[in-house]
Amino acid sequence: MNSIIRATKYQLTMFIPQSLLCISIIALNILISITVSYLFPGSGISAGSSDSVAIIWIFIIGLISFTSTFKFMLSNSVSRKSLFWANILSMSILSVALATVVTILLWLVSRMNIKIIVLYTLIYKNNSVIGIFIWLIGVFFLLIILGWFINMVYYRSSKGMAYVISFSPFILSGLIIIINLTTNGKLFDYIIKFIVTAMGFSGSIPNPYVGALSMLIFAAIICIFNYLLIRKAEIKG
Amino acid sequence: MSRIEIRNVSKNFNKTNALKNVCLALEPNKIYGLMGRNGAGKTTLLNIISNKLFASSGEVLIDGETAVENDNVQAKIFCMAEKNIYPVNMKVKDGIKWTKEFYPKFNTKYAYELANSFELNTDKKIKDLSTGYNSVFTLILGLASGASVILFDEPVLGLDANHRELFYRELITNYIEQPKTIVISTHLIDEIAEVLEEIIIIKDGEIILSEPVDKVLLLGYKVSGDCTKVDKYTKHKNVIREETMGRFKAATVYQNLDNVDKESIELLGLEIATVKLQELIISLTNS
Repeated sequence: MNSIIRATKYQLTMFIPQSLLCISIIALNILISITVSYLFPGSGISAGSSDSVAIIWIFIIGLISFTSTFKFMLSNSVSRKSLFWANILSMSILSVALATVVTILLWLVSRMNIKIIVLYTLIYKNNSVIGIFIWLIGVFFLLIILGWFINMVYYRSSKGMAYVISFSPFILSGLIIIINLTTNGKLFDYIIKFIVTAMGFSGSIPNPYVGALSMLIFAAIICIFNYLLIRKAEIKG
Repeated sequence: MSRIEIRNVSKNFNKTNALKNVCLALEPNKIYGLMGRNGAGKTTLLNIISNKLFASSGEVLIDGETAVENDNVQAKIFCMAEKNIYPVNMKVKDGIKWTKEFYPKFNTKYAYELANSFELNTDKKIKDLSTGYNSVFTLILGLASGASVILFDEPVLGLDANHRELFYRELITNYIEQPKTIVISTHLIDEIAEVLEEIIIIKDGEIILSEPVDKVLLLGYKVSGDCTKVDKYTKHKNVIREETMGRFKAATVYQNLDNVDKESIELLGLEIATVKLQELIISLTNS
């Protein structure tokens, strides 16, 4: 248990500068929006989507979270199992913390009556603070876990396998198109229906909580694969 | 006090057998030298003990407990790796701070004293350190770790003569003040010879020798003289190296030298000489 706590503390410390940079970019984005609204009142011009910045950023944090930490932890007597739980814990804390900061920033901006693009509002057509907060936790946690998964897949792969993995999305999408054609478009119908249901669009009013819950379930499924990948990982190079 | 038992450990990397059925017992509070040629399996063995690699078969026990994925057991071991595995953007002082976090017995004051002695700038980032100072950084962490088992993989890599001398001195002081099991893998055998108590020689993934240094030095000797006479003497001996120059021949023998042998050497008019540890290891790993 001690190892998990120590490793979590280390991982969170490593996340701090990256998260601060992310928050700075969001703040800058908001500042641009404020400036634009003062310079051109009523123009409707706005800077980019603030929550999207955080969404992209947390995915990048996930992508770079594994290799260096893994080597450092194994050098400091932390087992793979402890590192796995420490990663889950630190990534959960980061997701909640970043969702809190982004939600507060967006709430402050909305109180100031400044026009700003919010991805959540575009998707779910509402401005609920709790809705944004819960949905962001789901998105952040899913993406950071996905980034960690991709990082580990590449780490565990040989050079040749890494090329195969890099090309696999293209091969897979081609395969899906072929299957879709042979099933008279039924495959796409199923995929779209699944996404619509999972993201909470099946009812008359879009439900962000269903979307958040689905993303947390996806994240939990990816975590199972992450555990399988980390448990036999060895130091390379 | 930690006893390490390596039982039938093998490690395969694709088609390469890096370790073949290695069996070894390392007693507590002794300094071991792990010797062997490049690619013999030294680093692989140290990485398996420190849970960085998994053995393909066999097991490693520390004080009777498995070393695999065992946080409590691994907390007793500090392994200084040959290559830097610390985050490159980390500062030396942060490396010290974090090692203290993971090794509760870590002596921060001692680490800074060592950094001062080695003239290591603790404000520098690890990526800005030279090869020598990278070694200095990790060997400081090892010495100050307070772990009961310290594994040094090429600790003097890139170190100048002054720093090497300082390291050997600090190692002895550290060992006397706080006895522990130390394993040193190095190619600079003669330099480390006086520090070592036992020697382990690994060749092509197999342990070919594991003996106290004194015993190894007593068993090895060199006879030289006329070619035919040397051949006559060494006919039933364990010769590990031969050098011939015209009619002159020198043979390194690794076998107990008794009084009968001494008489034979005298009767044949051959010269007898002691062999340095480095020479002996080169002969043993080449034979």
